[in-house]
Formats: sequence, C-alpha cells, structure tokens
Amino acid sequence: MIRKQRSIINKLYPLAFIALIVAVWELVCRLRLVAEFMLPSPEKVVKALVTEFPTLIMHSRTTLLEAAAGLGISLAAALVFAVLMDKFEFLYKAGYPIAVLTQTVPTVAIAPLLVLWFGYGMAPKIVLIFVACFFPMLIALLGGFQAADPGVLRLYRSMNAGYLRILKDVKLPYALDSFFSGLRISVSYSVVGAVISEWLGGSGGLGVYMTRVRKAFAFDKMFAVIIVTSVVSLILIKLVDIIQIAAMPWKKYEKK
Amino acid sequence: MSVLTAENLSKSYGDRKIISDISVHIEKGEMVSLLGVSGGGKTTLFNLLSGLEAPNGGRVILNGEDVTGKSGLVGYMQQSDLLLPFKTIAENVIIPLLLRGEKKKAALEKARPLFAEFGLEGLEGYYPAQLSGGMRQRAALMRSFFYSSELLLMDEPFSALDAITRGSMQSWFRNIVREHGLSTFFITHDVNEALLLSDRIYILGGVPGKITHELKNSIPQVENPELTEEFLRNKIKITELINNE
Repeated sequence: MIRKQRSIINKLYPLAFIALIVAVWELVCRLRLVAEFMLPSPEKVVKALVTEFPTLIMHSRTTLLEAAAGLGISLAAALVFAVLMDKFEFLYKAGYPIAVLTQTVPTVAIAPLLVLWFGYGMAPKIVLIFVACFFPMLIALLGGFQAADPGVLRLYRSMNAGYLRILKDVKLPYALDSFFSGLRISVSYSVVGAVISEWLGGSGGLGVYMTRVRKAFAFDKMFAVIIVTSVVSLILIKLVDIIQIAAMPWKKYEKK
Repeated sequence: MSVLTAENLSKSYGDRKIISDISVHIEKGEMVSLLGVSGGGKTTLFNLLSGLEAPNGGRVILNGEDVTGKSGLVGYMQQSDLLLPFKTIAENVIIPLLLRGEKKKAALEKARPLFAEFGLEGLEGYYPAQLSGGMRQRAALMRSFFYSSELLLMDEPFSALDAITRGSMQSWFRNIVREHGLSTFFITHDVNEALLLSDRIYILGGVPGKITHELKNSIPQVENPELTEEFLRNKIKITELINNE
C-alpha cells in the first residue's frame, strides 16, 4: 500500500512541475511580457489543438505510416546485420566503427540530399528514418548479444549446440533488455525523423502541416502540432514498455 | 568396466603448464571426487574430460572409445546452475533433449515423471528467479541428467549454496545418483563433501597439477556419517595430504 502511494506521489512530481510551467507561461502571456505573435498563450494553443484536431489526426496517420515503415525496415536490417556481425568477427571489426561514426551525422543535414536523390515521395522519408533508427538498434542488439551469460554459452557448446540454436535459445533472449532500450530510442527517433523529412516537402504529415502553419505565422497551431508530435512519441514509447512487459514475463521475478 | 578413463593428460597455455601427466578412471556407478586447492587445474582437467578443450598430450576414453577433444558426449554441470532466466524450469531441464532433436511436447512428456523425483513437482512452470538456490541446483542436475544418464562431470555443484541447503542437497544427491546408477566425477575443495559423497577420492596438487594421491572411501552407513570416528580420521588424513602439497 505504502509502495503504491509512493508510486503515485512519484508520478505527481512531473505533473505538478508541468502544471507550474504552464501556469507561468499563461501568466507571462496575460501580462503581455512577450508579444502574442511570438508566444501564444496555453489557452490559445489548447483552442488550436481542439479546432485542428481532425486535421492533426489526419496528418498524424501519414507520419505514423512513414515512421512505422522506416522503423520496421531498420529493425529487420539491424537484426540481420547484428547477427552477421556477431557471427563473423571481421564484419564486426569492419562495421562497428562505421556504425558509431554514422551516429555523428546530423539527420537534418542529410535530409535535403535524400530529397535530391529520392524525390518528394515516401522513399526519402523512409530512408531518413532508417538512417536515424538503424544504428541505435544495431548497437543495442550487438550489446545485447554480448550480454549473454558466458557460462550458458559454454554449457550450450559443451552440448554441441550450433550457432543458430545458441542464437535462438540464448543470445536473442538475453538481448531483449537491450533491444527494448534501443527500441524506445528508435520509436521516438522514427517520429521525429518523419517530421523532419516532411519539412522538405510532400502532401501530408505533421511536418508538412508544421511548415504550412509556420509560413502562416499561426504559432498557436505550431505549438499544437509540437504537442501532438510529443504525445505520439510518448504513446509509442509507452507501447514499447507494455510490449516489453508482455514479452519478458520472467523480469518481474528478478531481484532489482 | 571403466566408463571414463583419462590417460596421461597434459595441458599448457603458452609456456604455462597447467596439468601434467594425469591419469584417472571412473567405474560404472561410481562416485569419485577430485580434491585440490583453487587454481590447481581441476577445472582444466574437467574441460579436457568433457572435450571443451583438447589436451596437449594424452587421451580420453569413454566406454572404450577415444573421444579426446570431442565435446557433447558427457554431462557437465558447472559451478553455477546456469539456468536460462527466460525459460521455465520445465523448459530449462529439457534443453538437452531438444538439442538432440526431440520435439518439445515429447521432451516435456519424458521429463514429467522425473520432476517429483528431483523435488521439483509443481515448480515446472516457475522461472528460475522464483526458486531458491537449492531448487535451482536440482533443476540444473535434472538438466545434466537428461544430457547424460550415464556419466556426470560436476564442477563444485554445491559451492554456491548455504551450509544447511548444501547438507540436504548432498544427501539427496547421493540417493538419486545411487538410484539411477549414475557415474559421477565431481570437483570439490570441501573435504567433508568429498568424504560424504565419494567412493574414491583423487587429490590434485603441485605445479603443474598432478594426481598426488588416490584414496578409497567408504561412506559410513549411519544417520550422521560426519560424526563418526572413521570419518574424522579420514578428514584429518586428507587435510594433511592437501596441506603437505
């Protein structure tokens, strides 16, 4: 009971802090300390959110579709590459430094190049999301494979188990923790990546909507779309948490 | 007839010779222990016997066949239980059967009657994290049993357990091994454990490690064998032999 109360209190802290920020923001706007066209009040943002909700939902669908496609392809590719790099040491030695290096490339900078190469359709968007999500997933999976208990690996080898059996029985399950950590990062990257890629053109998506309202100086709508983007990311991260709990039922018995 | 015979085994890592010219044998249904100080080469010897590593010299004979450097032929239970945390107890114990190509359903059917005997009845669906250390060791032993119901190599199987659990596990282990006619060869550095569980004791000593003594042991058939005069006499003798190495 006490633990439950403590958990509720812990969740109230961030909510109270957000409420405080919104209150200060509203006060700043009402006292006209900042020009209205520069910073719309929370009240106006909420109104924009309500009136634009159907439009935002429609654009969210496009963004989510792109994010899902990009994320799905990166997950599949990361799994294939992680297995190959785990199995063949020369591939690991050759590929790992490149994987780390590509993490330093800003996605915003390569987005125009992708449009140049792949046009204004869905392809450059999926490629950009792939670039953003592939490497966190690859590194998470490789780290996960290395987390496999060496004693268990030795036991399997002593029983003449082949690589594929060891991968299925030992390495993949041991990598789940790390995989879900990577996935949490990647789902948020996928949404942000989709929005960034949509800035460069297209007919739908939260990024396209964001560009339109920015050009119209409708900053209340701009804030509304930012909130929707964050909420979509948060929902996806929560979804990953739920999937992880369902996929790893033994975790609740392990001592923290 | 010997189930396992090792002849003149030697192993070096680079210039460092770990064990030299070791010969041991395990008879059918015999419980044999290997005593020695830490770092003396006991685990190296077991790695050679189980085929996990190849010796630099000598050979390993299993049921009359030369199996030197061939893994996967004997059950090898290591220091920790090595149960997979994400598999249930039932799924853990049937791993050797699945590796042999059996279907999961058939393997579970085969395992079912043995859960009670191994003290794991009703715990089949539990995860290892839900069980005590003793229960986990029982599951690990059951898994090893499915791997080889003939010969088990065990590297300090009870060292991670508390004294009370270890005591009850030792007597349970002795009974189950006898019941199934298993041959066991186990590493320990607990003289009491060696005297309670072995028909024969090898003492490994020196650098590089060699078998310095081989002793026959009869376990007193009384309720608390460790309190008998014979047991204490043997304990003093073995302790002196180890200390003199």
